[in-house]
Amino acid sequence: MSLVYAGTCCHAPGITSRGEQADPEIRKQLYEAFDRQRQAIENAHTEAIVMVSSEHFANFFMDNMPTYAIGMADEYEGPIEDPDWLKIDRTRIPSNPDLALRIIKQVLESVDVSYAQEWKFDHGMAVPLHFLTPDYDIPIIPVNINCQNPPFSPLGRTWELGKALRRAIDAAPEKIALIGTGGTSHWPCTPDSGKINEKWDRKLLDDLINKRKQDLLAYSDEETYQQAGPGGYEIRTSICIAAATEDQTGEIWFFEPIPIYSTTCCITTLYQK
Amino acid sequence: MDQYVLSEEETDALKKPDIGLLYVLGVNGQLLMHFATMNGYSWPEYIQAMRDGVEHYGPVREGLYAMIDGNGAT
Repeated sequence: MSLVYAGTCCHAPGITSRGEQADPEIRKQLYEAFDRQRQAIENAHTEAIVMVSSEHFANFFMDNMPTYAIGMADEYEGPIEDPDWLKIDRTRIPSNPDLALRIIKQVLESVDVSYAQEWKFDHGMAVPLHFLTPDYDIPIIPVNINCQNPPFSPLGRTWELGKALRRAIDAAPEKIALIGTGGTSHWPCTPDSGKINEKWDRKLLDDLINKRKQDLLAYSDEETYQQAGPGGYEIRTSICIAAATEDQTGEIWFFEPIPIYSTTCCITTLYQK
Repeated sequence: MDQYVLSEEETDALKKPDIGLLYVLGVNGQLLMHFATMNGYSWPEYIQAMRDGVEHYGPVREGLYAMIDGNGAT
């Protein structure tokens, strides 16, 4: 059936761990936007979600850091962080290893990816899933892009990963949603935590929804670090989704800098069937 | 900790723990924030400890955070 929905959302752990510390009205609007995305996924009769995220040294560390990895486990567990800290109960998350294998094999035709049969989701997956699949009843196929420590994937290669994922998804009979998480300016877990570059974030979101490939691939790591902090490297996850959905203009469903959550919280829809 | 190759300064910072010095030595915040929480630091206390560390020990010496001046977006 191929791709039925695609979008991006934020994954900052502060959204749940420090949830009550934000302005209640803004938090309500954010949660409503997450719920709108959940409904869009459900309304598309989604049978599996391919979630592209950047995990934070929970599974992939400096001793063996894949540039790209795709999960092919029967099921996953998360969050790996202390549930009391993240305020998300640890649970098992179903997957579809047969579909994952087909996606991996198709992606390997053009992009080298690692694969993993064991994977514990950190907040990069757990926070979005908490809102988008609260009953954990849709199989998840995780995709990781190293955005934590250089050297990173060149953005042109990340674009190709998105294209490869789209080809793989379109080749599958299942109805599949594609979600990218993270990626606006943030200086997480540093003395600058809470700093946000709203102007940079607005430009990025505009480039993403309009699928401006040339502009998206022109972000240099040096400038991204200066303007968007180490968290800005996560633009790779959303650029991957933009590449996969280049045939449609997207929409911004939520945009709000929330310093106590350490980032601009965004939710976009980049493709709807 | 004997199984790891650590300098005396690194070992002392871990044992104490000195969150500010660990940050200056280059520990990634994605790991350091959990280590700080394990040691009883609230979020504001963790952020302040890193700021105090930079003030006391100077700029981050190596790793990801040594790449900029620490002033964030211009």
